[in-house]
Amino acid sequence: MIRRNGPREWQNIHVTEKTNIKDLIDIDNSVSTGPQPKGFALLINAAEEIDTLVQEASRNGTRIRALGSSWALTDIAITDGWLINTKLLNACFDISDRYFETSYSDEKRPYLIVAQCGISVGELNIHLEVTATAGFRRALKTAGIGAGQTIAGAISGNTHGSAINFGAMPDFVVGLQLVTGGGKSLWIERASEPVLNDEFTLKLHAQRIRDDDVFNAAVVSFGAFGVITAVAIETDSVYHLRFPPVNDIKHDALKDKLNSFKYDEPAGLHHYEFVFDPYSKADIAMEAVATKVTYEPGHDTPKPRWIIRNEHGFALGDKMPRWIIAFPLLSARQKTAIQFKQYRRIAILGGVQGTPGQLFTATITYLEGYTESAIAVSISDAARMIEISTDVIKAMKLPAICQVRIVHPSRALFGFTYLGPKSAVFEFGLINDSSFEAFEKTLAGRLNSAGIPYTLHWSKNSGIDQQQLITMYGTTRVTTWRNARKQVFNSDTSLMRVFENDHLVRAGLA
Amino acid sequence: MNTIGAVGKRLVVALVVITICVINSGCAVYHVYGVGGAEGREQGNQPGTEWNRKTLHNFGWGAIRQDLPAENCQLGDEQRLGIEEIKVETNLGYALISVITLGIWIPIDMGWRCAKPPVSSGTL
Repeated sequence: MIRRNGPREWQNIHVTEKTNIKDLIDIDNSVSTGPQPKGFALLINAAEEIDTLVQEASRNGTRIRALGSSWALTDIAITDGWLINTKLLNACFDISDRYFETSYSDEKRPYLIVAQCGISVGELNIHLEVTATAGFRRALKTAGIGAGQTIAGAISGNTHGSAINFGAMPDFVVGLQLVTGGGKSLWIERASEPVLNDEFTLKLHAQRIRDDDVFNAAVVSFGAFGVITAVAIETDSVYHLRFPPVNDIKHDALKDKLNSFKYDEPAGLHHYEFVFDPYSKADIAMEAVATKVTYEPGHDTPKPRWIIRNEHGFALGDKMPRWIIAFPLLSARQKTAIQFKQYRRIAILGGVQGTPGQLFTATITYLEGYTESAIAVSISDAARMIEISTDVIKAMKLPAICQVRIVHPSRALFGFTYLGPKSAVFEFGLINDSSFEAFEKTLAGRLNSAGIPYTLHWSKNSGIDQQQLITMYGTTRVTTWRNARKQVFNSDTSLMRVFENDHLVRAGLA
Repeated sequence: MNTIGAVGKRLVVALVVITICVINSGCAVYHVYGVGGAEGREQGNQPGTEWNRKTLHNFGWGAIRQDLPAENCQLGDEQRLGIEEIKVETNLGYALISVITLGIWIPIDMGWRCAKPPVSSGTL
């Protein structure tokens, strides 16, 4: 059911983006009278209500954006029109055998779920690992450190995690329910990997599109293809990640390691990240490595990371990180050293073992005025990226540590982690002021000069224009994505305009 | 000279602190949120709605209070949701009003977000 909350000023969690919207619309799975919808009826009801909203917006010339948990630091998910809050759409279903294509493996069927767009990663972890509706425990194949994002938001913004031999979150999706305002929702799959059969799409009252390009475009489309109302996800049998204690590694040794990385050493390698302080006199970085091991019941849940309050509840105020970073009596080197020390204390995983849902749990992250720039390069260029980014940070006297996570290339057309043989995602914590954009432009310029291909994280950048988009993804990918967008809207330009926003226009994708 | 230098340094620190307080519109924020989760895992806050905010007033040292009935924390079928997190904010202006009126008028900003409904599940 729909609740219209009216116009208001809206801001994202980290207050890096503010906008005035014409309406904030909550949508949930209930109906005002009669029996409450379940199963297919629940999915159909949500899709039809959103479809009606899209058609109304199209008639009024209003723009719409589906809203997840508003974790994106960029304007990727905002609008000046209607924001549709999807967080109350949090159902999750197993699938009966009868709805699978015969070609879909019997062994994989119990691990496939259909999750509604608004279920959070944390809720999904509980559903898979604890509630275990299938009668056994399952787990997500990968996730970022945070568990507060909605599943559709995390996927369509390409949350990457650090699964070195799997990929990013969009890579475990095999089906999408999309609402475009066309009167009937779409169910999109890859033609090369059909999953659910005709009876499923009939029961869902959906029109099916089976097309690799359309799927690979829609899965990372940040709200531009319509509202993703449900996703089919392939999960794993529950597993443990074993993190030995954090390892300190010299920068030279780290660069050597990156230049000839062994993706299967140690055996079962699943997660690889390192954190470095560009000003470090000792040239020491922290390294967090995890192997995927068999689930062992009885392990206590490890102490959660990213809890910034102490035992009495005291924590830095929302605005303090910004002020500490701007504090004039400490040098950039000193401030970076503090960040590096605090990251070791509260953020990095080491000496723990647990399921993904026990380990990746961060949700309380209100740090106003703080932002991040995340740039992916090929692992082949990671050592040079360490040197170049260190130069830029030092030259600009920025107080910033850098966290780097290695990810298997994504299949999504606009998966920013598409660079092979593995993508290395460099994330820099910065103050959200003019130095943020200046840093990113300087770094991008240096990478261009060095001939190093790069991509910017969709949710962590200071702005992507048309030229930069083509530089990052090439004309073919951009054209294919644009054509796929036309196809899902059946070339209806008035509906396409409903899902435009400033970010899309700036990137030349409108 | 050393004493003067030390005093000057303290003055700079004091000015920085005062500047921070004056520039920040919400000088002091109190944050209440749900924690914990199944099997001892930390779920943190899991709100189902966006922030709603309202300025509340209290008069006559508590003689008259302004309540805040949270009307948006229910689903379309009138099933009530809990409140997942609350922010209470005050600022320099509100503090001055309270001091100047000797506590007769105490304004405060309240923000709240509703909880999510339980995950609905089954087999399609």
